Amino acid sequence: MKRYAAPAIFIGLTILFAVLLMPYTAEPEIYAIGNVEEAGIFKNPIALKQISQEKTADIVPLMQELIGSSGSIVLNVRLNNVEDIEADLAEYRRASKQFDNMVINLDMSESEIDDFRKNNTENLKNLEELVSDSATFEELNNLEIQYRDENNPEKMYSVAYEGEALRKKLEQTFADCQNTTAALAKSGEVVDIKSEQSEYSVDAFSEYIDEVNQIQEERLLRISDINIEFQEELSLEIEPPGGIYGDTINTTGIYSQTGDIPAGEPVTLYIDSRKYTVSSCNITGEYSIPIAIEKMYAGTHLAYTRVGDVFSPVIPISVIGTAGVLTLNYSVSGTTISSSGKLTTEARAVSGAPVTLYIKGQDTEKNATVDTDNAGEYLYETEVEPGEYTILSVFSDPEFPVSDCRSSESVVSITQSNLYIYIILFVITATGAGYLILRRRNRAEKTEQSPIETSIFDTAEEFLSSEPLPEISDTKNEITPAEIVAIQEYRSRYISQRTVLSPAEAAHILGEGFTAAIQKYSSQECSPSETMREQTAKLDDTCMKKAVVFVTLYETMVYGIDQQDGDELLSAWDKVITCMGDK
Amino acid sequence: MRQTTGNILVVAALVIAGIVILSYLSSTDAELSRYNNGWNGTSSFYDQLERSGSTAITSYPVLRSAYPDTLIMVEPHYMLNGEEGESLREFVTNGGTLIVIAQRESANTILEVAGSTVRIHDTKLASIDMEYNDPEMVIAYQVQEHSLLEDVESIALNQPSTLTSGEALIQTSSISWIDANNNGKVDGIEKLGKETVMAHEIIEQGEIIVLADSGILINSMDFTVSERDNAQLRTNLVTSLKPSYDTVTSQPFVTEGILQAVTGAKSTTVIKILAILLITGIICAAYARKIL
Repeated sequence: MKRYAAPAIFIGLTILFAVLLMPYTAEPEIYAIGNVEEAGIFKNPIALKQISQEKTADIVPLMQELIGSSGSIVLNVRLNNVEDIEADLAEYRRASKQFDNMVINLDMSESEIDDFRKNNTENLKNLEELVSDSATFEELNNLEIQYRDENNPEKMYSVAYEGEALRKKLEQTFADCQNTTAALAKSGEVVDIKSEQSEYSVDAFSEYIDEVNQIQEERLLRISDINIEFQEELSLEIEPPGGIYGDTINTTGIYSQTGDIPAGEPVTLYIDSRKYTVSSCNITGEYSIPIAIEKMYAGTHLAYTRVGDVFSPVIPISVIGTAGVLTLNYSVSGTTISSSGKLTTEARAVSGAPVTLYIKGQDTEKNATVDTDNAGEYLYETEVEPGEYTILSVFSDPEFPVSDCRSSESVVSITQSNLYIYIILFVITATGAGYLILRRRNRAEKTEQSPIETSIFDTAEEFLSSEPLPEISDTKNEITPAEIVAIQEYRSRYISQRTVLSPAEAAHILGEGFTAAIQKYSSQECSPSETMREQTAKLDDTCMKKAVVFVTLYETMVYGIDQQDGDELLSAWDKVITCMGDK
Repeated sequence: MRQTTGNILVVAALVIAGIVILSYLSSTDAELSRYNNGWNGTSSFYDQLERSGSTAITSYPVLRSAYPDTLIMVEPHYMLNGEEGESLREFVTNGGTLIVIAQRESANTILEVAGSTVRIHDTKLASIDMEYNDPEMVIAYQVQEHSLLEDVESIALNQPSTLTSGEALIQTSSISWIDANNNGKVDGIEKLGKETVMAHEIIEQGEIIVLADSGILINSMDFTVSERDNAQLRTNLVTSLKPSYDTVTSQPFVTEGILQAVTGAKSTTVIKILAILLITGIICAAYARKIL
């Protein structure tokens, strides 16, 4: 029993220590230097990831570039370099998008940098308005020349009227531009951005407005000499005069002219000098056009209607901005992240709005823009590598009267697919099982070929009938009398100790004597690994039967199948030893 | 034979345990300590200083008799008495260069005594330009030439404080801020702008240089910051100005009683592991000697 005590204690301690150390395996403190991120007043650079990030060197030049972009665009508008305008505007949009992403990814969305971003977005919108309006104004100039050549005073009057609406619109855009540029310069100053270029763009814009005013004044002067008998009148009323996203504003009016009004006379509604929609008058000349406030920037818009060459007065519409609410949900399927959510304002779904999703991992940054559907919902799915990701969705589009908003950040962990582990486990299990099966099969084959059987037989006959005996060596020696005396000592020991030992232990003494006798008889060494039956196989037919009887009894004693007093075993031993001694 | 082997094992286990325990107790894990070989100690910097032949200043009056060119103080932590203060001031006014490397405001008393107007402000300085994935591991840039900053363009800092007054030598980038709410991002009333982390001031014939980050001297900031010029700055500190180093009031030379070290050791996992090893050793020995 004592011999098992030490291994048992070792095993017990091993298990105990393993259990004690288990909680530390995830963060082993023995190698703590890489796990302690902070201690006292210092942070541990060994535990932190080295990124050598110098983003100021990226952001500040980009901000400078954005500020500088306005000047060249306005200048090209003045010079009417259409191709350059489009190229500059496209580049400005690209740089703005890059800047927006940078601000979000660097989590600077509550800083002065974000103020700059918002002002820049506003500035981009103003420039797009300017480019669009300038193109329309240029078109009007060409039309006026054409109508003057055609000597068509009514058309010239229409051009002058539309030009006046456009001038008001441009003046408003200029006012917005001045404000935005000042704010842009101010927010840029904190990071040492030079604002001279933005001031230059305002100056250029101002000069352009002067040119527009001058052209328009001259145009009005030219039509002042034209005496047209206006027999038509087109009225316009807007009710309510403004609203928020999702509101519907009704525009109504009456087109009156001498004579009958043809049913279905088309009425075109213009907002900010752009065709909004076309409706028609009824036979009494009344028309009604609803305006849904959706993709209309917050601020004042100018609306008028037109029937043929007849214009209504220009009426302002006030669109008020409201706060947006953006939600974000996510689900994970394998390595696919599915992000969804809804954009609302004042509990109204915002449809067709761009929502940008930012998926930021340890070393990767991914973003994509999707539009909301009619229910204000968006969905984006993407494949990612295993790791931890922060997901954020952002809405920012000044074209909508909904203020910028962002969802709360969600952290999602994508784990390595367990498939490989399962495959490895399966391979190991299958290999192990295959090995065991093959081993068993080989053993069975060996057993079929081998006379040796380790199973226990109840009788000698059973044993003899089940095993073919091997050939015995011809060169065997008889046991000498002296050797017989030596072997008989086992008998003496057995008799003297059988009362104090257990039957099995006592039987071992006779078994040792039996082995010694076989070695002498067969002149073959008996290996300790050989069973008693294997040793018996070394005997020839003469003593085999007696030996088998002894072995059968021996096994019943040793393996405790049948507890006897030992006399029968001793008798069998005597017979087989005598047999070997006679020979 | 087995008994002899068991005895050898017992002795070996005890010797190893003893060496480990002694070695543990003879060092310290106190941050900035000159005797701390760990990541937050300054053993490597002071070894470098000693190898270069720098001398240790153990009392300030010696500055009057044989004053060095430069004296380096790291996180000075107590008020100097009148004579000590006078010695230090005299050292500076007579042409010495005092380099104070500290991020705690307690060092301001030394600066005041030495006649400097530069002040340390113990703030949470953060920047978008960071050497490690933490906004407080700020990268700062040279903004004015100085012999101490030869071949030093940028350095990585470890939670630096900020400085006011004096002439700026090293500043952060413009997208840096005082992280008042300590959330790692700029928000609320936090403003962006360059912050000075190293400044100097001429006091009569002498000069006072202040670096608001003692973290650049810790061992782990020596070998891990490969992208910056931290190593060059250390070399310049050690070689270019023939410095002596203060051991009187500088925090790296603060030693505490062994009792405190033992108390601290008891709370560490290393000791727990040693105890486990010791128990295992004893059991091995018992097994070898057939006690079990």
